[in-house]
Amino acid sequence: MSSLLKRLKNEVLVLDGAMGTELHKKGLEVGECPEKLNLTHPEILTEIHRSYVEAGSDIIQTNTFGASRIKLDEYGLGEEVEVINRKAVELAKAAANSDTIIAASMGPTGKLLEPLGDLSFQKAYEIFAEQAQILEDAGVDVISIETMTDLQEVRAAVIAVKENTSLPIICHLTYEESLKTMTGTDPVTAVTVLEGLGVEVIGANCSMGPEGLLKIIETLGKNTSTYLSVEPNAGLPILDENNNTIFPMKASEMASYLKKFVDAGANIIGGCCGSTPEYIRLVAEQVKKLKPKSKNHQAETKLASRSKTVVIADNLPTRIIGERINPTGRKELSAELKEGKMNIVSQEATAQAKAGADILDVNVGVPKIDQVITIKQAITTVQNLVNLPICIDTTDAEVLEAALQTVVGKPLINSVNGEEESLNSVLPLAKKYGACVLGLTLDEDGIPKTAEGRLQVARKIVERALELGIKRENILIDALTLTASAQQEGVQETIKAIRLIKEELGVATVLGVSNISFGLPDRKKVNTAFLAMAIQAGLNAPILDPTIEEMKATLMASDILVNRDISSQRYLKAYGQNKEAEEKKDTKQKEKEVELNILTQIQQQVLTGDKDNISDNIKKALDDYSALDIINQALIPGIQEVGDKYDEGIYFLPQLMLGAEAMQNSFAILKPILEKEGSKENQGRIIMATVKGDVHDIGKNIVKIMLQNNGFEVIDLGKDIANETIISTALAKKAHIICLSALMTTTMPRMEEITAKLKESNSNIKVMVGGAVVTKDYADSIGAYYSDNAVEAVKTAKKLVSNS
Amino acid sequence: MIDSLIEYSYSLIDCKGAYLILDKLQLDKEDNLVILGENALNFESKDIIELLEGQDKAALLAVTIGSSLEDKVKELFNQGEFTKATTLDAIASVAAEEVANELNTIIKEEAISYDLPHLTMRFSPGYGDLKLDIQPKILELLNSNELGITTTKSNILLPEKSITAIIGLGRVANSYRARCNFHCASCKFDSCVYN
Repeated sequence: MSSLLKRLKNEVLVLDGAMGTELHKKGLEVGECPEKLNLTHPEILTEIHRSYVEAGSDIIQTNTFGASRIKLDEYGLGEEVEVINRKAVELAKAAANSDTIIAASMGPTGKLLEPLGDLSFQKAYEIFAEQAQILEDAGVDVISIETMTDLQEVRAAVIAVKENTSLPIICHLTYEESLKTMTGTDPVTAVTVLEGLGVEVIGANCSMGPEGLLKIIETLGKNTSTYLSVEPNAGLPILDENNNTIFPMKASEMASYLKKFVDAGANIIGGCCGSTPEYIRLVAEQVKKLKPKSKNHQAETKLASRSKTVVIADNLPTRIIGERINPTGRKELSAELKEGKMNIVSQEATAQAKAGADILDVNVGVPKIDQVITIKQAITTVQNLVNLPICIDTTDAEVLEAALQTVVGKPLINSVNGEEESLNSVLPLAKKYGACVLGLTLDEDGIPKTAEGRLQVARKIVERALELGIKRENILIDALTLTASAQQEGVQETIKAIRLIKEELGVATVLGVSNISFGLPDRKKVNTAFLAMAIQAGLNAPILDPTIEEMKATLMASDILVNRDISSQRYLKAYGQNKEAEEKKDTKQKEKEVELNILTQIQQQVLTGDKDNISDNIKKALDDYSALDIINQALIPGIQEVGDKYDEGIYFLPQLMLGAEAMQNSFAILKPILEKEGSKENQGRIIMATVKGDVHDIGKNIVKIMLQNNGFEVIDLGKDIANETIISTALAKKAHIICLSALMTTTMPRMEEITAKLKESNSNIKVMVGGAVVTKDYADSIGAYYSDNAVEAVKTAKKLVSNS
Repeated sequence: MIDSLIEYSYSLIDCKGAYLILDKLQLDKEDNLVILGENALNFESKDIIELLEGQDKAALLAVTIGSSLEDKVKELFNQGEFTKATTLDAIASVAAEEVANELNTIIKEEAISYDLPHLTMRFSPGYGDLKLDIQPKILELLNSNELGITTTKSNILLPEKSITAIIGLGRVANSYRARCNFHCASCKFDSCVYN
């Protein structure tokens, strides 16, 4: 066992503080490569390392945060990746005491991985693998992955280190004020994915103060028994009047925080950006008095998407695996997949999520297509639309690996079985990618007739998985449904097998239920009865069609009866209203369902920015709907969803703009119709301008588009516009709001002048301001309203109009 | 799409730049007055005094990538090609920075020939307390007519994607930089130059 893991059993260890700040203090210039100093100024590095060791760091981190080939390439140093990393390790070792643990720092590539960016998973994997191998060979004790914000990049880094070295991993994610990473991952989901991948120490570092970080560590501590590491700061250091670095937080206050971190479960404590050897000395003094708290979190079967964790357990509600993304027996879907189109996949994903699916099965098994490409496309499409974990439905190892690289989070592999070939190809992939795996109880001899026979296959699958290091909680078993009309005597064997598997193996169970009724009339009746029986026997996650109301109703009712739906909460929420209203709603909904189809499609196209095809659908929709209905029921909800995704950090400016383009193409068709109909309905009238003296207008234009797309009438006066022109136009046009943009501090005062002028003239026109230098404080001080970005501007404008 | 836009942007970028190295730096700490060259440029700025402290010469520079690219951005915006427009605008900003970096390298080479190998950060009007009204003077000294850079009445550069700046050249390093306010929690940058 590595010395790190041995010591963590009884000790809270102290990590070092910031490297970058110290390097800058010693003369590194902005724009220079910090890792190049390993070669040019080795004495500086030794000195910094030494100062941390002397301050009490048990673990010091090498100056290799940006020493991956891709980062070094930015400075033309890619070819020196090996010498730079080796030298860094040598320098850290030279400064270390005999018991100092050397951690190799590995930071992000600086590029966004697919689907958010364009760096492929495989490429990122290769970059991390190269650096990790060099570092291990140079003799480090542990790899410390730091400051990660994209869950997909974390997966690539961790898998690369695990596959190519035998070093333990500390993996720090960076959280923001929202307690999520920049790309929307919460700490519980991070735990799910990192535990799945077998990371030895899970950590958090971030730029927020210790209060926020404490919340993160508390959440992590409640959800894992893995060791935790935290890099807080005592508030960022400031200079006093004599130019000495001081910490705003008193030592006593900091001590109480450090104790809280350890109480919450932290096993390693270091310092974040700005922290110095003096700070680490304070940490070491306090921390050495403390003992680590033991965490006894029960292992659970967990799946995750980028931003959501789903726990599968006997005391929790039965989870639905939505089965509809599967071309078997569905001609239209097959045809689309053949053409590489994802319209139906999108629709099925959203529909199933709405209907209450917890996990989505994705199967692209169409003969004679390139399933590797198709499954990547399908998974990306689904994960861009809904935040549910994915169940990858394929038995082809090549397709499976492509899917495992594409999927974000912790997926379920559907499936492995008792055949040697399957065990040998699927289980290693499940282990490598930290996924859960579903075992089907069949082998070379087919499906065993008896429950005992299936238990035996299940036992074999579980044993083989455990041997490979896959944890028991990551294994699920499907006892297989036979068709009642063909093998009636076999039905109870399945039910019995679920019971036996639960009792002996203690793993979660999955079952595809609809097969049971094949060949019988009115299949729902048989399906629901079988589902209830299986849940009673211990089924945790049926694979079914959640859009069939009867199935969902049976599932929810059964959950009450087996005491999984505590206080019948979920049932009451779904069926709490009186029955009559329910039925009315039901028929209404059914009517709507047919209708909604084309509108849903349009909404979807806004969401995916499909500007090329949206016009056709708008024209089609006009046969049945008024232009206004299309806007209010399809386009506006679509662009709002785009806005939400932007807020959550799932979408970025390009997706926002793509959605906006789809909107504009639609409006181009609808506007003339609206005008003909004389409809004047709009959210409100807005005058917009970049103030006098300022010529920057890209931000203003983006805000304008978003406002227009959300139904506002925008009169854009342009840039460099005189105060008088703005005010007189606003008054003449009876505007509700004036939106002003300024990029420079020198032109910002125009905003104040305009706001004051309006007040003088007793106008109730509201003023919204924005631009690089504009802050909320400034807006407040002049009596205007501030928005941080275009999505927020729409929200502010809506609020202002509805209040006036 | 991004790759093809980058490729396309080359045809619309017309980069130009000029620089001038001034000596005889006078830094009057009492009145925060900076005088460069033989009174070629004088202005008030505490930040520049700190920047040029201990430096022997100062370089003035101006660069632009021309106006074709930003005109194209506007055109695309008007055509409803918002994604392309915003992407191209970002490319233009990066291009202007890169041109400035390139000029930085050239200045550094000349600085080394004076045995002044240490360059300070590139400090532009608008950073810290360095006011924009110095822009016309810098441009005049650099014969900016040839570069095609002008300013608006409020001293903003045209074309938009242009940069002016002051760099100190010294025998010793001066790592003074425009200070960050360290509001890290609300910072939107992916990586921190201070860390």
